Amino acid sequence: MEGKSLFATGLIILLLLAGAAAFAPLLAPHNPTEQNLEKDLFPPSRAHLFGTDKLGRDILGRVLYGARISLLVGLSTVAISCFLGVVLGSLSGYFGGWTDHLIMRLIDVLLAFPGILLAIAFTAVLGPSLRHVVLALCLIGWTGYARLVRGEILALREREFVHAAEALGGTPARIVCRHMVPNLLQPLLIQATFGMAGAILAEGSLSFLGLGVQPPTPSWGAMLSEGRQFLLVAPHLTAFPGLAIMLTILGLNLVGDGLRDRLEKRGK
Amino acid sequence: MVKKSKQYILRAFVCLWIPLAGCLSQPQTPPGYLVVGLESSPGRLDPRYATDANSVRIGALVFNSLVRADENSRLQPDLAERWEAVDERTYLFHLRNGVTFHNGKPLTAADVKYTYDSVLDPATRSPKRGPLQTVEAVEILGRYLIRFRLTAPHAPFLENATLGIVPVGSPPVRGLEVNLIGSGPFTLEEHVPGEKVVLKSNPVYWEGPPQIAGIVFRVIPDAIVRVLEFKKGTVDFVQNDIEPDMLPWLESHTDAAVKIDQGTTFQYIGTNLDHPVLRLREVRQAIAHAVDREAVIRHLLKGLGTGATGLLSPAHWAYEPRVPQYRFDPEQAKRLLDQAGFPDPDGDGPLPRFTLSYKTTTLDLRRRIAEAFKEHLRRVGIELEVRTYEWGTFYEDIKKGNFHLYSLAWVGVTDPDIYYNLFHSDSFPPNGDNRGRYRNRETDALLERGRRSLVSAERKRIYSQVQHILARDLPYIPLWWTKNVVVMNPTIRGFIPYPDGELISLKKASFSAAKPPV
Repeated sequence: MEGKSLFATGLIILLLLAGAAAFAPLLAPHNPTEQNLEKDLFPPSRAHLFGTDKLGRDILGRVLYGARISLLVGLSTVAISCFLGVVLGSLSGYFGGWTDHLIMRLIDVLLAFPGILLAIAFTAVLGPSLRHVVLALCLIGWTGYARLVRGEILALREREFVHAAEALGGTPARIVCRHMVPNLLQPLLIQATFGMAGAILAEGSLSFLGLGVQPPTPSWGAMLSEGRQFLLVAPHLTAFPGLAIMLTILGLNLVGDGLRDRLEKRGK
Repeated sequence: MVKKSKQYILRAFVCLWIPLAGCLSQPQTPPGYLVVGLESSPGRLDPRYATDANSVRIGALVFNSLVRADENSRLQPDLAERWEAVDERTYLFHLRNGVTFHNGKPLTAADVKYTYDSVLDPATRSPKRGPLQTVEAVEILGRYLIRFRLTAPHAPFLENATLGIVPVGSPPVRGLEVNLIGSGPFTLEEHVPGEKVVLKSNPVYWEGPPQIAGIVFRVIPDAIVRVLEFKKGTVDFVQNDIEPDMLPWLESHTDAAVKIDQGTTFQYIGTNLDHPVLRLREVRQAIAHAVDREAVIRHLLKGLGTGATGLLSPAHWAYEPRVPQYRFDPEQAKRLLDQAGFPDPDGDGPLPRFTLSYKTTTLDLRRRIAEAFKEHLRRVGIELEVRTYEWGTFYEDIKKGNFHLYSLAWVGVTDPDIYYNLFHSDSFPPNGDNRGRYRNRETDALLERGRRSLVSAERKRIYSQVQHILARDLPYIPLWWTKNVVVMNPTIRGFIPYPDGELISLKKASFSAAKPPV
């Protein structure tokens, strides 16, 4: 019951956020890019529930529209990274030998660079855009999943059910997809929840450096970066996008843990 | 359930706050040192290479020059006790006796000759070679007497006598600058690029040793962290690197001494005159009318700026106030754009007349100003694509002429000959800083006359005409002259703010009370 309610809470949070992103044009009381310099840094009030930013823009509207960018970046980065990581990590762990060496050395090379630096270089070369931000974050993002999957596959390879599947003539692709990957869901889900949070924050950093979403398009990370300078005089600038990020992470964690609990029970 | 939820909230908080917590480190400062917070790291401190504002300001505390500008921008004796113009092309400098370098070696005419020859040597690749190209020869006439011969009369020559002097044989420093030797009030103790520069008081300085033990210039890129460090007492002094909105907070939450003075730093929008749209004068004038600079000064700068009419500030001897000015008038802007042949395709609809890009740095204030301009120009039908870059990339693009519009500032303008460097058709990069490729024969002729003439009244007349033409043609769209804001520890005495932000008066600064160790 406890696990169920946690899972349900997380799911509700995520659905609400997704709904807010989808229906932002209907929910936002003001245009998120409309400026009014006379109204700079207004605290939350009836006219502006979340207050206004330095350019007098409505923060509620910006948080709602920002959800679109942040969730899109987070989800697509995690989806692409996870897919690449599972494929390459499985190849590496299952076949071993030179395949393993090749993939692991590639990961070592990529991890030798600070992730954000590679992402900066990548977006600087290709030009600032949302698509390039996602690709840049996936460039490093997949390595974590690949290492995780490889480790798990190495352990699973010695398990009896894998030997049984091999004895029955299962192809490597079938053994990995049908028998091994379902066993990886737990750690992958946990990694994905944090990966998504990291991607949302990294998008903020790239946007802040001018390599991500270009102003005045709102994104939570960029709003957080912009509002940081006013933390002491207008904390509402960071509080609301910060809360939005926190809620997203919380929702992802709850859903992730709920799923794990269910899968564990089914495994038993 | 409650326990688990707490865990989740804790995790989420940790994710968000770890990066900020890392910024608030605890550096060690030697006792009696004054700590200056800088937004960006100084580049090369060697006076033959120093060009960015922070390097020049720090360099002035380590090196002496023949002459130096005072707080009223008038040239005063420094290493040269006096100087004389023998004729239009010859200058004699009488050096001060008894000045020694930080290594104890006396400073003589040989050191001055070496420094200038070193800059003039193409192999040194000094960025300061260009302005000195009229120097034909530097001749030693005695141990403390030196003569400069010029190829042609050059009115701004004395301004070039502000180059820091290094000892004979000092190789141009290309790597870490730890062994730079000057004769100034402070010696260079440590330079960690991107982190800090530590200067130590020179006990045998010829004007008397500074009263503070030394100065630590700490690079703190984040504005909020600079403010918090100041509140904590780990930073004593910040000049112009404070968010305007933070000033009232600092005044009410700390005992900071705040000094606000009109500065000479000129902020402008640069235009690329090779661009098919921007080459039309009406378009540039329309942009000038469309931008509501007063609203930006009032709200984004919190009044810390004054609407500018051009590069030279009212405090300058050559300033011309009666130039064409462009008040905020969106309707006039629309009319000018119509005249230029760019009618609005759909009236108040979303389609723009044309699209331009606007480059600026990633600094928060610059980004916000860019966003405000984007909105102002959208209202007259110009779509502005704001592109923000970190400083290095941005500056490289601007130097190469790779822009439509950009915003930058000129700091420390003294002689109006700077107009030659900015707007003469011989000054296209890399020969000069005419980055927007402005060409006007009339301006060229005036600027050539201006640098040859040695009569102040005539020069004033010439530069007055130049200011008129430039205000009409608008290769630069003037924005504002920024005010200098100094926030400092209230126990600091003797600091005199300079309109161009120079920090040389720190050599006479002191703490009125013993500074507690932090």
